[in-house]
Amino acid sequence: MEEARAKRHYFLRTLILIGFTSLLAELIITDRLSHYLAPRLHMFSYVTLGILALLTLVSLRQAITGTNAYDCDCEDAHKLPRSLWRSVFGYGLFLLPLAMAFLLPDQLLGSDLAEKRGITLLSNDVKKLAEAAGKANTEADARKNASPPVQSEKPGNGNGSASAEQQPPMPSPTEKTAQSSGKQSAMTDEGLRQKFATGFGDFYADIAVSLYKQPVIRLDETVFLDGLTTMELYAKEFAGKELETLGFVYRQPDFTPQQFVVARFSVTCCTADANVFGILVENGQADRWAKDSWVKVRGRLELRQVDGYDMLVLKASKVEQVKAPKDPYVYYSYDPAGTNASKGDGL
Amino acid sequence: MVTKLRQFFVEILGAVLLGVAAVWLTTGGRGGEWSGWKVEWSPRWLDVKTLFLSILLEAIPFVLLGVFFSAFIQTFITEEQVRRWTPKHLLAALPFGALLGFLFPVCECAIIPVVRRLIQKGMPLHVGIAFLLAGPVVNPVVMSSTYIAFARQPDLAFHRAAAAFVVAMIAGLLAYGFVRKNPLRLGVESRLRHEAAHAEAVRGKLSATFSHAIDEFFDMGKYLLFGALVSAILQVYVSRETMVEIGQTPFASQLVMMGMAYLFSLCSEADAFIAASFGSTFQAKSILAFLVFGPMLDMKTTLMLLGTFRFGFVVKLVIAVTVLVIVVTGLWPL
Repeated sequence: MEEARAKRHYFLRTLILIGFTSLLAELIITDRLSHYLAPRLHMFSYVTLGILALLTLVSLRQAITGTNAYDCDCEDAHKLPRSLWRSVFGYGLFLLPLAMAFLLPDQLLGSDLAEKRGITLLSNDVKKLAEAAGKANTEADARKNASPPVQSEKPGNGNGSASAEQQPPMPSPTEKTAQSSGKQSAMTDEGLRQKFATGFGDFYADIAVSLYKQPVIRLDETVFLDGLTTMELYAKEFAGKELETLGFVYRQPDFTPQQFVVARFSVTCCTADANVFGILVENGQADRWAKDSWVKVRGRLELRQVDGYDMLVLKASKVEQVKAPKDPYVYYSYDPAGTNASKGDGL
Repeated sequence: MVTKLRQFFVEILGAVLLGVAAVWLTTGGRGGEWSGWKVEWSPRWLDVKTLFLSILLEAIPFVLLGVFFSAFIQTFITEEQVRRWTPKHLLAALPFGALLGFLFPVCECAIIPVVRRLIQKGMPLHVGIAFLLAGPVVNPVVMSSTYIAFARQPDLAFHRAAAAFVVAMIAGLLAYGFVRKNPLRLGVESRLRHEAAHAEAVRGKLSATFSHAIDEFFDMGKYLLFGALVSAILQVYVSRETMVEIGQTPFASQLVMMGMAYLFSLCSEADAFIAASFGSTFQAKSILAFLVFGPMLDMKTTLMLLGTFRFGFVVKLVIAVTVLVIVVTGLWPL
């Protein structure tokens, strides 16, 4: 009887392990792992898949051959659940995520959660930081010291080839500008650099230069977070520039019908730590786009005064509905000193 | 009827599971879309699903790591060795425990099975507690991620480690002074019988390691699952603004940050990034409280602790750590 009971438990455990193994395998195969985890954790999942498969086999062997390795009275040590209700609760907990994963449709994080988290716009908190940075030069120095090791790996370090490598989706912005002999090319890299040398550290100055040189700033997923920070810091300089970006539509109750936010979730490890960042968009027909739908927005950045701070708003000339990208979230590059801290205004 | 049900419970559950799997396979994974069954799921509930699975997918590799480490200790390291390596003197043993995290950089989900096993193997409780509390903070991985998240105030990473070290040492000292009874849920006697039995029955140590890993996975897993579920629900239904509104005074903001650390149940590797996102809202001491308290205690680890230690002991531990973190971070020179 005891033996049969143990066998049944091992059988059920095997089924659950099969469930978890196939769930993980499915997420990996269908490329949906990035809906749940940041890329830097994917490696752990691959290893876990292997281990789970192995555990499934061991568990299956246990279920078939019985408790041969466990012919001891270690029942209390391994605690096979004793009562029916404990079993239902215990195994139910394991079945719940499997049922959710396999039966509920996938949903990208959207406005509902953004509302709970509070969204970070191109707004004033970073300005406060900027003021502090301006006053305390020591702090800026600290950041400068922290940046050099990562600079070379970062997009937009003023070196055309490197930035092209870093951001394949961008049609190598520097070359473009170099070819177009407009006003901007008259301004040398050094000249631009001067423009942005206002004590926020080389890191942002570099990004600012590389963004500024683009005829139309492409704020794609590789530079979304850093780019936003940079434009917050240099709001005045970026006013009037053309910008194109992609994100989901988010609205707050106090928005006018002409306004919405084009937003992205940032993810550090898993979506439990997701934060929302975005740009306020204004367009005459803004209410045509449903919340949480994905749009590509292009327009001109306009400077506003909000609570005594400069803030950039995107006057959209073109809004088009697009499909959500395969990897909907944007990430902190793991090692840039400075960026994450400056994004530190989640509310 | 009930006894019948009970007898065939596993079979019934298994059949349901297989049925669900079959349905899922035939519908190509688009559950809820087949004819007549189209269900409009509330978007909130789908968010819960996303967060819940996300926390699980993130935590399971680390729980498995801890489980394997614990199973490894169980099968390969003798009590003799554990006793010999642990310093005898209290003043050496406590820092030893608190700094052990530097050698074994495990996060908070992974550390509980490891500590349980070490205590079973004869590590004194106060050393185990110091390791349990400091381990997930005072380790190179967590320190570097904190350093990166707080590039604006890099010294916070060191304040975090130092404050956690102090809290863990005092908690260890309290455990040394006040805990007399073995706090593990399994008695020493049963443990000894268990091991004696294994020593005879185990055919190969490797296969024993795997069997133990499965047992511990299901043991720890249910607490992790429950904690992750509650955390996901809270994150979806409670807004951060509400919490910020509560935390207006310095003391209240400290409590609110600790409450959030507890409820969010973030991995100690990632929590610094969340803490950084509160940087402009809360003062440094509250942020420090969040960073120190979260890895030591949160929803999912409390449940995991309840699976390991006696209820009374966990309650005392939670109270002690909470008070210690409030006092230490409150007085911390920042």
